[in-house]
Amino acid sequence: MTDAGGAYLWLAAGSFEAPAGAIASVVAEPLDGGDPLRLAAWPEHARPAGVRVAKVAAGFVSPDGAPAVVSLVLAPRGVRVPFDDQAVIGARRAALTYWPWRALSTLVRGDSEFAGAVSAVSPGTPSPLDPFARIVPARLLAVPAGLVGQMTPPAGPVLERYGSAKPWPLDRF
Amino acid sequence: MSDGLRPALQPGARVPDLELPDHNGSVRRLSELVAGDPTLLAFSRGWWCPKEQTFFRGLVRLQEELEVGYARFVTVSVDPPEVQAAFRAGLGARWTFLSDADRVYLDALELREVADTLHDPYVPACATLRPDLTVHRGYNGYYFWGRPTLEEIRADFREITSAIRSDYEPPR
Repeated sequence: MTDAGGAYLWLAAGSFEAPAGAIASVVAEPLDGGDPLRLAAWPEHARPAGVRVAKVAAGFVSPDGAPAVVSLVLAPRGVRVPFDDQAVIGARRAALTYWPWRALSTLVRGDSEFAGAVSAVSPGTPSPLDPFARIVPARLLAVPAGLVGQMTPPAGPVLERYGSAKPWPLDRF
Repeated sequence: MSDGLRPALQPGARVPDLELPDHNGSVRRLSELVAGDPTLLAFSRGWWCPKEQTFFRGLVRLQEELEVGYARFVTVSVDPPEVQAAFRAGLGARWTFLSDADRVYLDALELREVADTLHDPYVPACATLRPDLTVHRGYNGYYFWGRPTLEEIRADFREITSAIRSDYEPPR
């Protein structure tokens, strides 16, 4: 089980070809019946070109991860929400109050832009309400093995990011 | 006059790296929960004690400051995880509660409340910790007024933070 403190990765979600240099890459099926979606992750030092990415806590991703149901909140192009917007803070508070997930990470673009969030439970587990879906609507995805890891919940109650540019819940400098 | 503090909570003592289930039932280590931040470690009698309820409602008032202050609370009691979770939810607390229902550390820390043979709980006691789990200051909470005030907690966190953050003085 990986913890929340430490490095971040680059995560992309969308329609693109199998990427070079990714440490994990899977094709997920939206539960609403839409087109399949590729999810892929790259190391911090190897940001891919030509793919729209955001920072994700490294613990969310594991190439050995089991299948999961993922709630994907992804801010569309043109929607710029500051990471410290009260709505995002409120969602982080809600997540700390009740944490039923196998893994959860906010997504950060640049130093301070809220790009969304990914939260995962194991298949067959009731999907909890995604607090970040209050900000941007979420899509539920059936994600096969090979992407989603397992994270210990943050200790709380810290909501601030440890240094700019890190996705919460990374919990140390 | 003795401060009533057990040796384990005297300034400079090192608290063991407790390994206990949290309020969700997941086993956690104290060092993982502290993770480089100043921490208030609060040993609690349990949810049923009115003094604990009052004290923890005070901590909840402070938790918004901890949200931005890179500091933490950790609570330990003999309540089982599901009781911890209910107490935590009722308070509106957003920090980790550890369950020592098996009383693993009670005697090692000399914190068994021998006068309460019904609940066999922890003696209420607190310590502000540095990131390496050494005690900055301990508080004997057997009587309510022995617990730290919110101002004392703030002062302790300031002292620890100024000592551990290399950039406490802003760069010029």
